[in-house]
Amino acid sequence: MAKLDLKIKKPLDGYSKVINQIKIAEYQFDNLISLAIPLKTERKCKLNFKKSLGEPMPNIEKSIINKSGILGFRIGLDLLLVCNPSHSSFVKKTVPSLKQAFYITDQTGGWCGVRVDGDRVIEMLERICPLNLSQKIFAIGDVKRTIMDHLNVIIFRETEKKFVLFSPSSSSGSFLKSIEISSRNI
Amino acid sequence: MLIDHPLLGPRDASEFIYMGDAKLLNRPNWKSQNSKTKFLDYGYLRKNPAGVHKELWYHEQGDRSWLLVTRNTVTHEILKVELARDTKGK
Repeated sequence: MAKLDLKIKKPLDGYSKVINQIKIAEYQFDNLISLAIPLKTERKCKLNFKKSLGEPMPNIEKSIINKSGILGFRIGLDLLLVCNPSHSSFVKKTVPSLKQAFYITDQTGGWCGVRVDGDRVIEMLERICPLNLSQKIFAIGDVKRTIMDHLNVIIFRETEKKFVLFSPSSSSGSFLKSIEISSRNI
Repeated sequence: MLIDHPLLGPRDASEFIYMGDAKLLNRPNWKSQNSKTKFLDYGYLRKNPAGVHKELWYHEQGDRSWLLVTRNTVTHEILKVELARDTKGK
């Protein structure tokens, strides 16, 4: 039997381009899971989150990043997302630990990340994003779920002028096109 | 139109879905005497006022919360926004 060498293909195939001084690049990650807080167990979940990831569970629309680079986003009162860029023991250690308190769903294949970075990034986002992007309202480390060009997007602010946008992988091509067009039109 | 979400602050109405009259929060008791009439009213009859109206909005492209919005249907002015979970049964 032939030996198969399987490789993971990312939704945008490692896309990277600069348009009007805005760097647009696929944000690659190994795992993305959602955590749902079972009814009336928030306290238990907070303790478990701290034990599993080494950081306190964030408040709504806030995020954490732990020593291993794992990101945690709270996008609803009872819903979080955890994104693992490349930590090797995430599936074997972190996920089983989180499972002791949360309902977990693997969403790795469902989302695609795009990082946008550059001096004119706010001008580009203002064309497609209905949120107030001023740092007073949307600070570094904040995360919000919203709609851009009719598509569901989770936006995370890494620095003043650097954002990661997660959109459903099934429509990631259309979303990338909106970002490209918006970048050209500023 | 902006909806001032109680937890998240002002958000564009495009993130929400209108889910109808807030009377849906008060489901009749099926054991009550005239439950058939009450369910007919609950399922189909709406006042549809020109003026202040309590309605449900679902934050689908956001935190997935249900909101109870008091809105003037003539002017579209939003008078009050509450989390439906905090108001149910009141």
